[in-house]
Amino acid sequence: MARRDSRGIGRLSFILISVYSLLIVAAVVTMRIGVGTSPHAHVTTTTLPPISLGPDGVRSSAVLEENQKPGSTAWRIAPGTSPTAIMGFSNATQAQVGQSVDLYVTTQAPHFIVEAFRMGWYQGTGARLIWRSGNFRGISQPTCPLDTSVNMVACWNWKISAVMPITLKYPPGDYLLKLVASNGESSYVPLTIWDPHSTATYVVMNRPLVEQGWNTYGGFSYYAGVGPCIIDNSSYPVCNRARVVSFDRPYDSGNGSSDFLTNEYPLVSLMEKEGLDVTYITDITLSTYPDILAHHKVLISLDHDESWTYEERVALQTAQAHGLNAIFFGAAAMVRHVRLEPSILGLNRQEIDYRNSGEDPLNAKGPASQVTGNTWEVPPASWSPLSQIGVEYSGYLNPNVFVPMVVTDASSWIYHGTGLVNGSSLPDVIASDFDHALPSGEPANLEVLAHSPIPVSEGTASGSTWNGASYSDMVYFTNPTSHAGTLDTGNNVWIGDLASCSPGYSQCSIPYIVAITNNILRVFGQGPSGLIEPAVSNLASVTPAGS
Amino acid sequence: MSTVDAPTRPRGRRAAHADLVPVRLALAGAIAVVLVESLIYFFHIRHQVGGFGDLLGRVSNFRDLRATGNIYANFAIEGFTYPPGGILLLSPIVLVPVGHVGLVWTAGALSALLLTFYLVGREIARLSVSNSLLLASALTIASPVLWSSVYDVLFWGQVGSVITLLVVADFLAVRGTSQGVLVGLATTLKIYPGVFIVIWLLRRQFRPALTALATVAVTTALATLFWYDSAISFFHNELVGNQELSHFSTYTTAQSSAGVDDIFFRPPYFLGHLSASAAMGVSALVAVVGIAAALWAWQREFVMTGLVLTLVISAICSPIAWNHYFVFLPLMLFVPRELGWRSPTALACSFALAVNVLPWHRWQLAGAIQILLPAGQRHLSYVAQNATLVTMLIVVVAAVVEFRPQRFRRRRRSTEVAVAAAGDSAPTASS
Repeated sequence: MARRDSRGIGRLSFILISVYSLLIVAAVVTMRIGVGTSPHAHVTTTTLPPISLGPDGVRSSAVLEENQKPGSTAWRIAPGTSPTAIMGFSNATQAQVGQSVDLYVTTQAPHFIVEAFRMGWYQGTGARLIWRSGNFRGISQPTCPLDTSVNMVACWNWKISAVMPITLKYPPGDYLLKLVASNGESSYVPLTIWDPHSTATYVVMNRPLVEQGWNTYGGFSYYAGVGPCIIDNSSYPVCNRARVVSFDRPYDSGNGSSDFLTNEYPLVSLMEKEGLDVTYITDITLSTYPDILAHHKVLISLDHDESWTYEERVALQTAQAHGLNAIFFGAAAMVRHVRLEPSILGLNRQEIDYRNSGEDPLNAKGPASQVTGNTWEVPPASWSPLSQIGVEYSGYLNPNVFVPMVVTDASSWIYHGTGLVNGSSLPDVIASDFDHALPSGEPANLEVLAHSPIPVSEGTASGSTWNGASYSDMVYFTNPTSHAGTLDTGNNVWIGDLASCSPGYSQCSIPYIVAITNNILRVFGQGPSGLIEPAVSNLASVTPAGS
Repeated sequence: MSTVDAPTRPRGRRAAHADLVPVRLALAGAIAVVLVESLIYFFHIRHQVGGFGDLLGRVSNFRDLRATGNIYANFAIEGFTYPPGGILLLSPIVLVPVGHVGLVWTAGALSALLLTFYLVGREIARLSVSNSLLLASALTIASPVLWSSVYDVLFWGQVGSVITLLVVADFLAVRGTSQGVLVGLATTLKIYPGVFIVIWLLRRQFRPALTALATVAVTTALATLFWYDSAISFFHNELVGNQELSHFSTYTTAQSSAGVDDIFFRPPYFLGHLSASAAMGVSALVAVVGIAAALWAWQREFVMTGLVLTLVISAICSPIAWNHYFVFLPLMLFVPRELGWRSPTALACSFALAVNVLPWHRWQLAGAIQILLPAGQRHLSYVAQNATLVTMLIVVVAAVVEFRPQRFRRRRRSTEVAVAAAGDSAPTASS
């Protein structure tokens, strides 16, 4: 009986293995036929034109040619669209050619499509349609769970709605993936497509770390929360805030694009219009691949780039010591201290900032450089951003309050061709957060280019005041050894100023802001700017004295 | 009544047919169990948060493969963590429509479970075919209800029950030159069943070991032939770059002995892997001790115990051992049958079976923020969440105590040694 049974099991095994082998053969044949295509995305691949530098060394034929291609205004979402009718997020903040991006979308519409727009100039249309998907099935995804221990909302329970392979058809750039529901509603998912082999002159760094920190989808961000305090009872930062925020959720503002269109896109559009030799990364890219700055001449930090990881800061410090120029177009750069962790959906999907070292489980256990206090400056990290940006965060103006920018060193190269003189005032340029140079004169050759009074009555100042005013300072300094130049505008809305003047203002400053921006990009694009325009300290001439 | 008139037993074909009736009934019942249970779990799981999450991840991976030619290209989300041979073995997934893949997978996982229990019932419990089928059906119904590790295999759409079937079948059902093929396939799919090859080598059973290694080599070579970019990517990024390890090793509920380091020494949300070497050391130590215990059990021809111990070691010495890795837990039911109820190993297995009826890995302190608990309490809560790992370690320790060779025993227990030594040479029920 045992032998017969053994023979039976053997026969059954043989049959099962044979059938399974046939299934494998069928599967292999199916896939071999289908390689290079996706069941959802029928894409063709093209090769990018080679990058060649223009006569002044900062233009790229690839960017020029790209922006001569037909653009489209279809990327825009009309006002009045429901912000929640369709929402989504991708499993990656950045992607490169060869990868594919999974989209998690929630909508009650039966179907939706995805349109991938590369954001740029494109003869004023603003973007080019790179890819349009077929219909994907709409899913009404479940409520995103809340981790009450850290007030983190993460939509790990959503199902994948769409897959988007990134082929050579996608030039590196800032993309908005427009989700268009069959009921006509739409929203964005931002995505940076980067090229790890790029040697472009300029590298624009998108700021998902900042956007996610302010994202209140599900009720929680670093600045807002709902429900009771989870750890302490302090009133600010609000005690029911998130201590960890997840990238596994949609953005709840800007139709899903967060602040991209106001704090980043105007500069992107300007640089693409000029055909500058630019490539794109995110702050998470830099944190993950800190060596990439060695391939570029200029790092461009965008408006309100406040959240930095330790790895990012070390990467920048190393690159500055080797001649990399850095432009901080916004204010409050490097104020907040964050670190990254994986989530169920992938690497670097959770951003941690307790804003209170006492709450941080790493405190007194892990490296001090990773403990997230309220700012980078406070213990135990105790690493002031001053040496890297030249100024310190000094406060903020109340919402919708704009004040003029006052020129203090009109002889500087940044004002070349503008006709501005010392004391010139550019109206309605400064708003939101502002930075201030330290009277102690650090860094040593700090040059104050604009010194603009901020009435304390119009906002909140965190440092000293002079006759009821603090100051927003635009500064420039160069590294005496590597000659790397660093410029900080001290103004949180510089890039927004490139876009449009607020209605009702008597004088529009855009032409000046654009001219100054172009001067900065032109000089910084040549290499270490200290070799061309070494900074000379002028703190002694700044008035009032000590301000 | 003369003997001539007495009713006679049916002979020949009719007799064989009569013998097969209970078998056919049991077989029909077993098939019905799998089908009905598959439907129940499919409709239950597909509406759960995260249901079939791993399986759908695999579906996504194969989409990536078709789109980019590299299944590992998209390692940022639910990466394809199987070796290249796994592409080959899992490839039939592309033939199933996405809407039905959960049902097909559940049916496959439950069938594997049923076949495993059937084989153990036949070969270890020495039951008849029909009784084995009945036992297998009953255990297939009960196991996912009683033990979360079995349920999790169904919930996530994991491969654990198939791997268990492959190794159990290779040891209990396959004879001759084919032995080793199924363990080879299991090792191709997941690296950890390779511990069985180590056991064969240590037992100087070179033929099945070489067969298993050859199977791994052939399937991997075939996969490399078909998907060269993927294979190269795996060997460069996944193995060398350690994506899987760097991704998961900070989880405090990963029931791996490597996780001991996480559980006791590493605070949560820690960046970096400073003590990875320490974790590897702990794993290596547990592996050496555990493999020794398994080897000693095999040497005494305790086949079921050897199988269970090897499965335990292969799971807890993996860099990561999620709850579903322990799908073999119900096989511990058969250890007392083989060793007797007073055996320390049998008692430890019974303890493990009893403890793991509760899903400890999902345990949370009600109303408490775990990461902010005082150190002692926090670690205690981590230990509770890793109850499966703890009970598996107890099984290993019990086995070492029970099966350690004579030279490791203390002199004052000479009587026991003599009995054990006599038992070593005596034929056993399963030999």
